Amino acid sequence: MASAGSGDEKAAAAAMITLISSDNEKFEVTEATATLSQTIRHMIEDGCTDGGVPLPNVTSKILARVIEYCKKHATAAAGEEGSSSSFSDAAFLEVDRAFLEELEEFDDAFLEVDRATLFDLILAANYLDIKGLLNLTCQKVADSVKGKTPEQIREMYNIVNDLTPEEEAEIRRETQWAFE
Amino acid sequence: MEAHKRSRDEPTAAAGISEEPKKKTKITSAAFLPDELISEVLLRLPSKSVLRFRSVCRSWNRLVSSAAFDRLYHDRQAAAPPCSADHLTKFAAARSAPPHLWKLCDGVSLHCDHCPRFIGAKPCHRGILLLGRQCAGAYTLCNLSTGGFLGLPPCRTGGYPCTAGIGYDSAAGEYKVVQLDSRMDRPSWEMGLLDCQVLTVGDSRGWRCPASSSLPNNTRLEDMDPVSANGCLHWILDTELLVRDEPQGILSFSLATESFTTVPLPPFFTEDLVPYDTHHPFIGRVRSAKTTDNRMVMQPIGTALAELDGCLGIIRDLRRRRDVDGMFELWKLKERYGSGAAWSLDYRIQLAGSIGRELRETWLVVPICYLPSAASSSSSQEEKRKIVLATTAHDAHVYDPQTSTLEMVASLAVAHDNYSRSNDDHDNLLCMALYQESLVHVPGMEYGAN
Repeated sequence: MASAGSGDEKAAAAAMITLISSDNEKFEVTEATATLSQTIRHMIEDGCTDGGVPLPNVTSKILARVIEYCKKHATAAAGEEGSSSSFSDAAFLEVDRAFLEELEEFDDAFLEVDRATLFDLILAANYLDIKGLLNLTCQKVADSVKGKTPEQIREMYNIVNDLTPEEEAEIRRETQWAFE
Repeated sequence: MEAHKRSRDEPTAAAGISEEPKKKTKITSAAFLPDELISEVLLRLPSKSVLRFRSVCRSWNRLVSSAAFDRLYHDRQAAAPPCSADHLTKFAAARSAPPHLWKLCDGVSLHCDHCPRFIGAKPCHRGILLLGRQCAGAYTLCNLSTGGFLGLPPCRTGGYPCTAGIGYDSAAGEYKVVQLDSRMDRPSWEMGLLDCQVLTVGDSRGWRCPASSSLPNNTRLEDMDPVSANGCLHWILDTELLVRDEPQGILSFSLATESFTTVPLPPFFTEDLVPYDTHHPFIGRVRSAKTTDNRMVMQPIGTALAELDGCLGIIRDLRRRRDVDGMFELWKLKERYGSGAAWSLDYRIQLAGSIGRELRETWLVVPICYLPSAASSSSSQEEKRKIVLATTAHDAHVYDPQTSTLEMVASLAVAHDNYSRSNDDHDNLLCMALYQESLVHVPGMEYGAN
């Protein structure tokens, strides 16, 4: 799980970062992969990554998933950087499109997790400040609640309704059309 | 893209909850997400869901009702234009009323087209659209995502052309609707002299004269919707005025001070005036004028104002120019109006051969918005951005400068067939507006029937 993927061996020789999960598992990743996280990027810039980056808020299970995401998307980012030089090359654009489709498939498969894992991924994406992952995971939750009623939301997420009947009636009155 | 910025300093806020043991009950009662992240989820929902979820619990209600969430939500909606072809179908058009006449004064009537219709190509502040029946002086404020509407008091209509628009005075936090019409009810009827009426939404005074000053003398406008940018509404002046004096060209109305100024046109404007050509394919629509030395000249037909990246823009129509490359140019007014030099060329639309026929045959092509490029966009890539264009053939397209291709992303032709008119000769109006999710409730808004 923690070993580097096949695509980025070359860059790996240049700079590797060690990430340490809350349960003390170590993950070696390339700098390109790690810097998808703004939090880690800042740490690298500040030169405080020697000896590994402890991430006390992220378990090894979640960190492994996050790294999986970052590896895939770091490759994508590298591909796009390379593309700017070979502008408006029709063949290249075709490849580009195929790659984007592949990335989309990856994201879809990536999100096939249970709810607890999804929430943990959101928390990790937020903590590590990985915009793409935060967007992906939050959108997934949003899509799953979009058509639901407040009652269903409370049930789904064990949320206690602490509104008084009067308050609830007042809110319902103000938003009546949203229930139609 | 950067519509929402979160505080980066306190990752610990997220920490406490992620460490909460979840193994036993899978999810404990407190383990949804911290407020900050609930907000991230709710920001990605349609407005109807967001408002419905106020009833979930007290903290969700507080969150959704907060000014901070309101700002984040609308900034996000405004900054994240539809990115995929799938979302781009989100243009709104009103269902036309049966054919009817627009009575200008005793004995003078016009055929009233596209009535009612959404005025302007883009929504005003926070997704609000203005629906207008100009023949009746009837305007309605609409929030299409919640279905909320607010009928404004009837406005006196004098005559034709009659143009109206909505703008937002951000300092006062007020929506204002402005109508300009020619005063055909005057005893000595002077063709083209305009009258201005303003209404602040929610103001019991109703329609009134603008606070500061009256219109510049001898103001005549093209029959087009105004464009809102920089806290002002903008209209293009009539071609005839442009060839006479120093061409100021654009009339600007400040929503805050309610005063009029004029803005110079970009330098290409006079250069583009060409001799009047009776064989011109759009001769019925051409805007012509007589110069001081008595020559008939005309303007390219596709000149139109637009709002891009918050700036006032103008589209330069090169479709009939064989000596200049490209189909259209977009010019942007970067500075606040000082000198004429503040205009700069911002973007080029170049399409060759059979590609782009849709843009070649329509009267107006109005830029709606740039699409953020997929890659992390550097400033050098700005001109590579795709752009959404709406046409008076009631289609919307995305132009990709990298591949020089055009993709149709919306067509309202079908929606317009309810009462299709016998000819399209005067289709100089877009009649379609970009849809934007909105949570806005204007006091007095009703909900229900469309």
